[in-house]
Amino acid sequence: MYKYDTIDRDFLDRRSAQFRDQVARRLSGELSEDEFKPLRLQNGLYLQLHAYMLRVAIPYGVLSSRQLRGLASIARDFDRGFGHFTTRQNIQFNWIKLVETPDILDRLAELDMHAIQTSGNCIRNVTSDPLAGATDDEVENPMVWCEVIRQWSTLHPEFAFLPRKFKIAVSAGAEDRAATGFHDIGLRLVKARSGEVGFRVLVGGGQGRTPRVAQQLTPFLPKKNLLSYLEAILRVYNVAGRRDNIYKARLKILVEAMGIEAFSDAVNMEWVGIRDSVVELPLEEFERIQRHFARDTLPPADLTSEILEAYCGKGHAFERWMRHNVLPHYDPGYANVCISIKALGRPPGDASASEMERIADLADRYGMGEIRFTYSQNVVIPHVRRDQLIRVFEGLGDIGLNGGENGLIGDMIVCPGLDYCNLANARSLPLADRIFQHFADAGLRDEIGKIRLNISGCINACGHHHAADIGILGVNKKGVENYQISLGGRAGEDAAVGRILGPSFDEHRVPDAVAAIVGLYLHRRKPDETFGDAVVRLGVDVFKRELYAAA
Amino acid sequence: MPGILITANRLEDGVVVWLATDFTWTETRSRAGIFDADTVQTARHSAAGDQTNNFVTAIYEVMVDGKADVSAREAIRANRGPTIQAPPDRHPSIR
Repeated sequence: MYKYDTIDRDFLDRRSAQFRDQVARRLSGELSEDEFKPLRLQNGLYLQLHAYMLRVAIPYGVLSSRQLRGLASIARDFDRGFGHFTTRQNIQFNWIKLVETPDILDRLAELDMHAIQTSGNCIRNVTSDPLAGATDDEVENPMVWCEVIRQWSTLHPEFAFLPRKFKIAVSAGAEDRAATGFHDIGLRLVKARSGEVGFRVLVGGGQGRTPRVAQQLTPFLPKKNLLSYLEAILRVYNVAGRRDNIYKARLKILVEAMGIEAFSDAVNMEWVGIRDSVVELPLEEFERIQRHFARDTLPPADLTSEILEAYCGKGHAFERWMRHNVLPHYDPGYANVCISIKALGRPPGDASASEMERIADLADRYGMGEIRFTYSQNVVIPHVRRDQLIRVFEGLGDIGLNGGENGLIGDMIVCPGLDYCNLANARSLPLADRIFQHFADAGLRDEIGKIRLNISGCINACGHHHAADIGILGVNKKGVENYQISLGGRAGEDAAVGRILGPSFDEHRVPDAVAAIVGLYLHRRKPDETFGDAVVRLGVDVFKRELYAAA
Repeated sequence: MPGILITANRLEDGVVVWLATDFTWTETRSRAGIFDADTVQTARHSAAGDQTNNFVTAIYEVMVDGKADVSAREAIRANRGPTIQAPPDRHPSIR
């Protein structure tokens, strides 16, 4: 993974000192709240329902065991002993004191971490595939490009005050595990027939109240031109994006208003002036960054292991975990372990300090000391020897995190909702637990198979309900929490926005409604047909009729 | 008795507070003042002064029916925390 040098460290120290001064001036009254708010947001600090919330950047979701232990100590020393993993692969702390924030930023800087650009109208933390550099289905390691984009976009002076927030994701796998279709810019590394690797560039995706799937801007961008092309897109957006209406300020609205062809013309016009210029990444700088991501030499590992064989067939929980949460690695003797931060009675995506420490220990002992946070609010330990998987499973069992829920109905993406958020209409976390309770039988969850059920507490869609097979949206119905259900969303290569089925349900009726939908799928599916594919084949209306006939 | 609550976050730590009848800020919802048409103007004036003096921020008012907070949002805020249990920190960590 990328290692900070003295330039990075000096920069973070200065930034931390700057915010300490800003906080002092706010507390003394020298800065008003209106003056201070954009400054604190640029450092990831929100004021939420109960307290300040600090969102810490985990660039493209990659961190070291030392950094994860550091986050655990921040959770314990400055918060209530836990953190929340987000879909942008970041972590949020919910009970932060403004007066202590400068000390937290200092602590983060010691860890080579920060909270810059996790909020505000700027280029946000770039996201990527949690299996990047550890899977054999990728064209090349996308983390190299994520790091290039991180360095280019961090405090980029021209793009510090964009019309609205701006999200970029990079994916290189055959399977899109970074939801690139729902980003302002989605970059997919592709190989041309000539063998040259470049980017397929998508623009104008996003969720919120106007969900849109990104459209293709170019099928192939040479890698050497990435920065000038990104710069051209951002320049067009910065000038032409709407600043008069917050709900129409995202790139997706501009792309739609102009049409993809006119937008493309505008980008190309801008690009002509800067292409192959000083804006591009120098080759030696690319090579410097690339060296940070060179594959570690993994000790040889047996393809099959007597220990593994001995355990299989003896414990159902281990077999489930192996089936759902042990993901392929480029070396057949190794695996990538997905840790489901989802279980009955646990708020999805929340992990305690001691759990983070245990995960860090396991990554040190059985992996390469590296951890990934995922789009679906889980954690991955890459590079685990297959013959040591049982040890990892047992280690996770000690902290109750050895559930095999990856990709199943219990693996819900859920926003903090009204339990924490100032914007929410309804609670998300308790509803997730109600749904989990309804599907408490692990055998049933296995039978249902691959399905994505996501919950957002309001139309801002932080829980990505638009991109789910079953999406649940919290609405406020005369002061009472209610939930709309949508069907048919997808976040992968074939990204699609789900369709709302009809009138909303109260929290008590949602699990039955979900059960009715899932029940119809189980009844009508073809062999090996996933829920998502069955919805496409049968049509959303079939499910709608079933749902409201039962209701 | 219907009335108006005035609530805010304390600036230095973000803690939720309510304006009491003596115009001090309390962290306890049950001690919040419920202001009527006669008293609310003075209360607003006092609260705004505390915002200017950098003691509180994000002031807003809540209509109440005299018994319970009317919305789920205000009930959760009054409860001073989420309605679900976060995973407990078992410190010192198991090693």
